[in-house]
Amino acid sequence: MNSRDKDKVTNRMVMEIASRTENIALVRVAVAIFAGELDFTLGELEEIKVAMSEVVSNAVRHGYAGGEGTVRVEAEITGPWLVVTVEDRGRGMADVEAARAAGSDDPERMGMGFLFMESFMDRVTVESTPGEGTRVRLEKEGKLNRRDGR
Amino acid sequence: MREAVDKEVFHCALEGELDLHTAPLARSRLDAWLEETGALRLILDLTQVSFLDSSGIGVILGRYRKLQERGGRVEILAPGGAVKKVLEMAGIAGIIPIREAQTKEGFASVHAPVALGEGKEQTSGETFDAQFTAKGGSRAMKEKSS
Repeated sequence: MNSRDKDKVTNRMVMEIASRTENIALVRVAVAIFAGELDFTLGELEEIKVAMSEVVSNAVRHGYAGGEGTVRVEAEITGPWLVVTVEDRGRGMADVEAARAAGSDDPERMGMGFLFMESFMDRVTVESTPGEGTRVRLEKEGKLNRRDGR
Repeated sequence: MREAVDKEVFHCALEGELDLHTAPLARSRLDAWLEETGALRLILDLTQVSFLDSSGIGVILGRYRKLQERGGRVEILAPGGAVKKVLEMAGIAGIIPIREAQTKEGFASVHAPVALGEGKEQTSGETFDAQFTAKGGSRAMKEKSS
């Protein structure tokens, strides 16, 4: 287990959005504001926004293929970690590793999106079942804000 | 001499956030203008783009390929920060010249700004269309001789 699994969840947020492209910005902004509780730099907050945009875009474009559906976003502060889980009940993927690796030079495919998620977050784990949906967990370590006092 | 013939340059500034939501508008406007002007050189000004992800990269690469097919080329004027980082990570710099924002003084005025809006403020397709503005027309301009 990871050391952060022992840390207590100190803050939590859940959002559910309709699978619509206009909601992608809503999620990335909300998560970036939520993440502001940890001492991320402005650059890191921008990176978190890109990662959120990619994961929600994948759910809307590939998970639900432009059709109706709900994307659930759960964000937690656990110790110095921001942990975000994005879940859809869309088509799912038979081969997650292939989707992550393939087509990283083609933005129409998922590879480039995963490249940005992996580059901008510390850890990205994907669980997916064809016909049931996909859950992506993204983690990034920040710094605790004024935890030690003076 | 004949070599002094002006090249057709199309300078387009995108403004706002370029993501999956705004990419179709950016793509269709750019394509319509490129078609209309027949320009062979696209200067894609991203200095007023506050957000860019892989959907935006798709727009850029798609226009690059279209211009390449007709023997044209693309240049990017980029801001710093996350937008530049995304361009670099996507490997854009390897195929499209990226210039820093401060070098833009060398260009004539922008001919076709495309306001993409802040995605979070878009509540419907209608609102989005209404917020779209294209100041300055869509003509190709003559390249300034330097």
